[in-house]
Amino acid sequence: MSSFQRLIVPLLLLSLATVALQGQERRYRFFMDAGHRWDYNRSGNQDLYRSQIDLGQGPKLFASEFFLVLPDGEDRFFDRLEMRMNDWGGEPYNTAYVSFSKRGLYEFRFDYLNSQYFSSIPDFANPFFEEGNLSSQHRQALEYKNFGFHLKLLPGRRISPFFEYRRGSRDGEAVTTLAADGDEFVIDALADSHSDDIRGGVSLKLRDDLAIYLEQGFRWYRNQDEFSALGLQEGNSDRPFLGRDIVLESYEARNDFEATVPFSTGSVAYQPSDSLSLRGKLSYSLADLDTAFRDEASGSFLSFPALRILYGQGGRDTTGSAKRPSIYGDFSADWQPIPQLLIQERFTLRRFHTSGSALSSFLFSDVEGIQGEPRDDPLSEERLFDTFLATDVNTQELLAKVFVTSRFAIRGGHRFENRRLEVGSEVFESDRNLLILGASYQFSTRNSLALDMELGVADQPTVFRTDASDTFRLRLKGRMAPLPGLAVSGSVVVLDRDNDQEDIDLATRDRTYSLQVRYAPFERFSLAVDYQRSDYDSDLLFVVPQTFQRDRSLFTERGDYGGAYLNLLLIRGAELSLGYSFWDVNGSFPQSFHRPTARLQAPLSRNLSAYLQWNSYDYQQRGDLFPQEYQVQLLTVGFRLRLGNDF
Amino acid sequence: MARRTEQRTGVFSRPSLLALPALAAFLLPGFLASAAQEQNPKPENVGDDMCLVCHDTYVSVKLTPHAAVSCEDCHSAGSLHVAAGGGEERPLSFKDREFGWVNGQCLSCHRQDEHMTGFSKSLHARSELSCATCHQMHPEQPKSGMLVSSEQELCADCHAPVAAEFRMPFRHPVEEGAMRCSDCHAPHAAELPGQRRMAVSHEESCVKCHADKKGPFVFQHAALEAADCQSCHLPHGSVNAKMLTRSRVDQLCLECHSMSIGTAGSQPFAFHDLRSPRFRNCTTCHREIHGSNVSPAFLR
Repeated sequence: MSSFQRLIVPLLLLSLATVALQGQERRYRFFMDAGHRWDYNRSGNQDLYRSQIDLGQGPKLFASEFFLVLPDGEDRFFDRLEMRMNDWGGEPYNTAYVSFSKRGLYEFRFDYLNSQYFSSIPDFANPFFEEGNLSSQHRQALEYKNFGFHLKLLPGRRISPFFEYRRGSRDGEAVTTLAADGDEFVIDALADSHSDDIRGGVSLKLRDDLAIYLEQGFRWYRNQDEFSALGLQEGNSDRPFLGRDIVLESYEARNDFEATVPFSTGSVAYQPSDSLSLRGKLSYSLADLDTAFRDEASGSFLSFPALRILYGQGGRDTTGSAKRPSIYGDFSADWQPIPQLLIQERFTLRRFHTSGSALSSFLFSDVEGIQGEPRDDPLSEERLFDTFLATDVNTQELLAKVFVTSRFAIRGGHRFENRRLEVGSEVFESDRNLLILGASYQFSTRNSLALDMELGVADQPTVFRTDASDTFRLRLKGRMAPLPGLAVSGSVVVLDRDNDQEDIDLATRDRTYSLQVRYAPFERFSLAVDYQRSDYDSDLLFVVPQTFQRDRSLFTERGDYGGAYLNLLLIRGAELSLGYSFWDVNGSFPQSFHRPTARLQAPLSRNLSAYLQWNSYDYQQRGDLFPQEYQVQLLTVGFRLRLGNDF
Repeated sequence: MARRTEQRTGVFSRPSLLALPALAAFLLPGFLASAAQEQNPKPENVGDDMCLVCHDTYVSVKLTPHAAVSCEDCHSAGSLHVAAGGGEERPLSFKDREFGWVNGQCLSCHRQDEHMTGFSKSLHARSELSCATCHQMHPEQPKSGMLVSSEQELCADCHAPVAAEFRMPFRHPVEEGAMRCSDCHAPHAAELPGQRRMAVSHEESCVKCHADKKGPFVFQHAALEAADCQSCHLPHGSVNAKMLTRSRVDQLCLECHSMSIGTAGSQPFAFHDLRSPRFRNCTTCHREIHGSNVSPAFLR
């Protein structure tokens, strides 16, 4: 569908809905923001622009909304209808939402999201970037679609069943890499995968103190990606291996992975007395995967394990299966023996256990020995893999909250985390204890201060998650309104993570400071100013495998963010909006991103206004090597239509 | 006849000294209560139509899911307020009330809602946020979810640093309106740390759109199971490609795959020459890094 056709469909639907209301005494609201966008002054790397922004030109429906409420007693299929369609007409994201309901009888909602995902980033996983080759070896132009509907019957009643269906899909073209022993080649890919979720259940409010929720669902997932390459390729490495160039002449591969996942959830909320409430939730799912993979390659390759040089044509067949049972449990109790004290106990568990097996058959008919000696026997190999990965995480938390006054509360508690990880025959287990402290003071509705602190200590470091060891987290947030029309808020967040294991010695320091000011002294003027500073340092020791020497991997990121938005109401209802935001980053990957914007909007009639909007995107990397940048300016002429009665 | 009268008189006359105080003690509370009731009569419900005669700007409540709820269900009976011609004898007002009181009123009906049963453990509840911080019961123009403003604006009001992350070069399209905060976060009840929502099969909500990344796989990348997507990605936004936590892929992989002895994560360590640009881009070869059904090293 062309962008024009994509635009026409929603416009027609919305127009029909509006016309149907003419002359009837029903409460409705209709809003539409549409126009035409032009881009100009494009410069720099447009692939990078498309990977980050990707707004193009043409006619657009930026936003639309239709809202209808029928009077009580009107005998219709629904008494409330809501429709939204945003960003249609060739935009990278299109959304649609429809909901309608009849009070006490049913609620129905449908949502749709289409994302055009484009990614082609010259410096990402590109081994030749430092030589000036800016062609990405990982390029994707994919379309993600996600839509579903939810139907709830008898909402608010004691027994309320529901049903939901959701489908997600991903398809499109991509460029990726194929790794062979000693070299890598660029190949094309066709992505094709989708998932379907069906679930249904019932919400039971049997008594005023007892609510039960039961759900049964089923997920079906299938992936049928295809890969291909035609034409002779030298590969990323031009270095001969054992005097032989490794080259790819052709390649074809196809996945067929299919997974089914039945899942069940049940939860109970019970309040035996005013001071005690109990809650429990338990979910179980069992993912079952069947896989088939086949590839064929021709060229000249090397097999390190077999010490053979391969040429001509060969292929691999792999079939496999995996099962992943998983459990999630969450049990908690709130006890408030006196109004000033609340005690909360919570226990959660998560279990993911994956066991898999695969049988891989490899056959290459034309082989030589590594010294170039001729071999008559083809290289045939059959391997059976058995895999097992299990993760068990248990947490137990006891928290007490004291309401010193009705506006001042302090809290403190302890959380215990136990993680057990099993990879094949290797088992790793660690415990972590956290001290939790916090306080909040609500001076008034508009003035408050909150402090939270967590201090975590692990009994032993781990290298699976470098942050799952010793942590310190502090957060201070405050907001106040010292003058009418003036609101100030700010926060400080500190996060330190350490892993003292001798051959890791990780330390990260994360600091974020933010300040926001909102000033609207009178109706015609408003100003919003944001500033944020974030400092991130990571220091990790690693061993250079070739020399067994220790080296350090250092990463720093100093980010400054600023944003200012001014809104002025001019004469005759005209409105001028000016805005500017920037990210300026220094450290390991210095860059800046500037986004000024301006809009002038003027009413043409009571219901219709026109506007002119300008946006600019200016992105610049400041690296020593081939810094990437782009500049794009967008100009939009549009109109906003508002129709409605009563509101 | 006269005798009967005497007798009756006698009955009343003889114990009168004791009976009168007893009667007074019995009747006095009733008289006092009656008098008090006349001074402070018990309010009664007057119905929404009466409320809306004066408070007509609140008629919009009839356009919200609270249309089925009477004004007096939340604000208490209003007959005295009506009798006083407004002003005095105000019913319950939510203005400038502390969070505990407001939340108690709302939860008296919503405590049993499935998405609310864990509210007391949520970060929002622990920060003593009132329901009225985010929800507006009778706005002039009702918004989805009865929110005070659009979800994006509302969340950004308190979570400004997160809102700034959505303006980074690589980000999820929240600012573009294609996603909402509540697609990934559950504002009322915490299921995962960071008040993250779970997908229906109790995996991370990322799987709703990125089903191809979560498996299960025959060869599962342990990082996905042992931790979560945030081990490697910054889901709100990042200055690094693919929303990674590091600008260079090898710096990220080294966090787990450094040569380390005696711990599970050391298997396997990176044995490539990381001084070469070719090997600093690990995903050039290990392209199926989330998991593979073919290759134990995630090569295809």
